[in-house]
Order: sequence, then structure tokens, then C-alpha cells
Amino acid sequence: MSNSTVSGGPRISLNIEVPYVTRVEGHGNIVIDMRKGKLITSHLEVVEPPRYFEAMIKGFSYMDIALITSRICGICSVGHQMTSLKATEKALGISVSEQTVLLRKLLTYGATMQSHVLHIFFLAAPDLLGVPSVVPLAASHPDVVKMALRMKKLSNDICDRLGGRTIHPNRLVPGGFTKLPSTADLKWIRDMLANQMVPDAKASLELLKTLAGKFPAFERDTEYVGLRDAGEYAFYDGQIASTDTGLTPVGNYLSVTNEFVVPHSTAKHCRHARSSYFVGALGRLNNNFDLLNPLARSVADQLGLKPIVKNPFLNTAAQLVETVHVVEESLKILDQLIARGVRDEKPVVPDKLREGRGAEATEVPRGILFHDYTYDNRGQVVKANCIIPTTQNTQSIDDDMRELVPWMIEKGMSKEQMTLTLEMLVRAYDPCISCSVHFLDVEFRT
Amino acid sequence: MNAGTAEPISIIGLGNIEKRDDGVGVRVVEGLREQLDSGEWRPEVGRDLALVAAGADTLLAAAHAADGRWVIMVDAARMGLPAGEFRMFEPGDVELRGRDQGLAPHDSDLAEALRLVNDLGCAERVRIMGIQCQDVGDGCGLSQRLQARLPEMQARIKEEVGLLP
Repeated sequence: MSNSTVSGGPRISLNIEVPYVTRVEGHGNIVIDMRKGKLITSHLEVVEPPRYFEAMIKGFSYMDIALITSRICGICSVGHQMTSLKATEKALGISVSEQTVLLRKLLTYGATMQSHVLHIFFLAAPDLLGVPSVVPLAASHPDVVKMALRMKKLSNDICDRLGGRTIHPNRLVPGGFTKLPSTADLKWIRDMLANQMVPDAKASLELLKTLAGKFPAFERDTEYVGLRDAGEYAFYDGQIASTDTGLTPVGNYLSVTNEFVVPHSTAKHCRHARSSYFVGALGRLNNNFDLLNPLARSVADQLGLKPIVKNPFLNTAAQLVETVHVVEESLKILDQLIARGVRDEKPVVPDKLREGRGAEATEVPRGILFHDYTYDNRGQVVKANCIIPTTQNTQSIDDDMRELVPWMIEKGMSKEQMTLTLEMLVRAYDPCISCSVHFLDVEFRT
Repeated sequence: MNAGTAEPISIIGLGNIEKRDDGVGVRVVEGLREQLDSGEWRPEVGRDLALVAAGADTLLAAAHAADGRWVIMVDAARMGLPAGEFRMFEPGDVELRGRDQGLAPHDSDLAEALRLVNDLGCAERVRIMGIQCQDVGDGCGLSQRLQARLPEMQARIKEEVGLLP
């Protein structure tokens, strides 16, 4: 670049490299190479080494798998546990009680709140407020930072009270819980959600409304994928829903994910009806909008979100809608559980171990998560496959970049503005790059 | 201390238990939690005491401080001391440096969290117990030296709890 402003001429040359995108989990690089108006390269390089979790759990007992796989991610540890437990229970024919399902949903919602608040305020908001990180905001916007920390702490406290730890909970096992929360715990959570989280979420909405104009007005038509369940906005269960093709049973997930490898990334990529698809808050919102709770629907309306939302930057806004939705959903479950009291249930154990396979999915904050296990008749894993959301989003990020670069040139952005906008794009997906690197055998053809 | 006037305290264990001694903060707090649950440790009546195994979530430690609580952060450290030695200090007593030269194996995050706490005006309510680590390689158990000194570390934290208002 000879100057800082890029004009929209057809013969433009442009080179942008962002090594180690900040405010995302893991290491990824942005590479843009345009020569004389032709876009040669536009992608996110994932440079993390493979982690071999699927190989690691071979031979382990069904009782250990959820605890091990929860270590795939420190942010989505609850989601990995839930998905793992469901897959194991399906494989071994274990049916859990309604109370177990309700408590698992509560934990899932707490983990969703925690992750969404972290992303909205600590990872994405600095871009919207024009600062490099949340630290400068402590001086300029102390009340906002304190509110965000308060919301995060409460979300972590919910996981602690229900799961025994703020992250990597240790009370969840196949068939149920080793220790149940008390009714007093549930009343405490209910009180805090109603009297602290709801007002804070409303204040967050007012803040985000003032910043809404800072989201780039970029749109790309693509396929959105997320779970969809009968009667409720899906997080814990459901079928795979696509805005292009409708519903697919979770057992057929491989027909949706269609993983493939690319030379520039150690994470696999995915595609379904098009060259890529999008999972995450927008993937869920675009497939479940009619199932939002009333307050969450009001938040969506005030933020101008209506399906199909095609702007990937608005994933952050969709996360606020979902934060409100899961608070409302949690209050409903808490009222139900408090009214009848927590029953002293022991984890369900299988009558007899058997060979079997179970493929299951849940929605974790960054999108749909699949775990698929095959067990032998001793209850030990012989084969495993985990496909996490960021793996499914990497090709979508690349496809966005391919259209975003010409869009930014058309807008006359400077190279610095373009660089920041590309970083914002990657951050909007809220990627867990370390988690996305899961494959076992890859052959690069370069 | 009069019952009911004790101020809330959070004891936050930091570190990665899959990196051996890096997880000593979490191990210290897990042990204290067991002592509390079993009745072996009985803090003064009316004290709101939170024991949190936060892993690498240093922001959660900042959240507890911002919530008006006293916070004791427990973390592995490189302080140039013999393995297993530990020190209790305040944020203003030390300079937290970069990942490869600094006080704790994940101190770049801890440093940012402490800057946040400082800028929010809450640093005076933070104490840090730094524990000199020996082995931060892959693995789940502590080195023998650190394992042997866990009771002393826990006793020092209980002493600090008794000193706080």
C-alpha cells in the first residue's frame, strides 16, 4: 500500500496480515492478498496443533468420558459435558429423570450467560468503543465494567451452585448428578437472576442500542444452522435445523458437517448446502426466532434483529438476545423446581453394559456441538468423534472475508480500518480456535 | 470480630491442574473447600466465605473484587525461591511481568485482571498468595515438594482470613 486510503479502483493491490488475532481464544492469523484487483488469498489461518482428544479417550470407561472431554474447552466445559453425557447415555440406553434434564438445562443456560457476557463486554465491546481492550474502560466506563463483571460472576456462581465448580463442573455423571443442589440454592439463583441479572441485562440493552451503529453494515447471504426443538428455543436438545434445507435428525449429523481439510488451517472446515454454513447465536436465532421468550423478543425488536439476519457482526447482538432468553427460561425452570422441591435422586446406572453407539448434540455458546461415541460391551470407548462449532464456522469466516474485502474497498476504508474490520469479523464469530483443532489424520496437498 | 459484621471474602484458586504445579492454586482451594464442608475449618460465624476454583479465569477473580469482597488469589509463581515456598502480598508490592519472564505462568492474564481491579479502585482489597512452582509440565499431580506443603499454605490462608475485617 502506498497510502493509507484504499480507493475503489479495479487494479488495487492490498496485503494485510494480522498475526495472532487478539481477544479470541487460541491462535489464528488473518491473511489477505489482493493483486491488481484480483483477490488471491483471504482466509483465517488456524495454526494451533491438533489435540487428539478423540484418540485420548479410547479405552476409557463411560464414567470418565464427560470429565475428560469437558477439558477440550475452559469456556464451553459445561456444553462439552452435556453433549458427552447425552451421547454416552444414548449409546448405553440410559434414560435420565425429568429433574436431571431440568437441572442440566439450568447449567447450560448459566454457562451460556457467562460466555455471552464475556464475549459481548470483554471481547467485542472494546472494538465498538474504540479501545484496545476492556482495561481502559475501567477508567472511562467503570459502571459498565462493574456491571459486566457482576453479570459474569453471577453466571459463574450458578455453575458453581449447580455443578460444584465455576468451570469444569464435577457433579455431572452419566445418569444424573452425584450431588444435587438444595432448594435454598435454587431460591438464591432465582432471586439473583430476577433482581440483579434482569436489570443488568436491560441496562446492557440500552448500552448496545447506543453502539448499534458501530457494527459494520455488511451482509452476506448464507446458510444458518442450529438445533430446533419442539416448543422451546433449542439449547439442550432438538434436530439439526438449516435455513436452507429444514430439519435433519442429529444421528445424521455427518451429512450436515461434511468436514474437509484445507492447506492453510490445522482446523477442519465444514460445508452443507452451500460452500459454508454459520453456527452460533445467529444460527440459533435465525432458526428459532418464533420461540424467543417475550422479553428476549422485545430485545431483538429493539436491536432490529429479524430473521434472516445476514450480518455476521450482529452475532454479538444476537448473544444479548439469547442472554435475556436464557434468563427468562431459567426463571421458568426454577419456579417449577422450587415449587416441588429437589428430589433426592441417585444417578441412573445401566442394567447391563452393552455395545452401542450414540451421537448427540447440544447448543454451546458458539454453536452446535456434536459428540459421537462407540462403546464395547465393557463400557469402554472404541471410537469417538467431536465436531465443535468453530470447526463448522471456519469456512464461513473465509467466505465472509472474500466478500468483505471488496465491500470495504468499495466503502473507501483505509488499510487500518480494513484490518480492524477483519479482526472484528473474526471476533464476531467468538471463535474457540484451540478447540477447533481436533482431527486425527490429515493429509495436506500443497 | 462480632458475628454478622465480618466482611465477605473470596479465596480464588488460579491455574491449570493439567500442568502439574501450575494448578497448585486450585488444589489449595479444593482442599480448603473440603475442610469447610467437613467442618474441619470453622471460620467465624456470619462470615460470607466463597472458595472458587477458577482455573485460568483471572477475570472471575477481578469480578469478585469488583463485587466489594476481599479477595485472596492463590496462584503458582516464579519468584526465584526454593520450590514450595510461598508469599502473601498485595498487588502494589510487586511488578507482574510478561509470560516468559514473569511472576506466574499465566500472569499476562492475571496482570490484566489486576490492572482492571486497580482501575476500578478495588486493589486494596486484594491479597495474592504466590507459590513457587517446580514442575509445570503436562500432568495432573503436584510435585512432591508442593504437595507436602499444602497444609502450610492452607494454614497461612486461614490466618489471613482471620486478619481481614
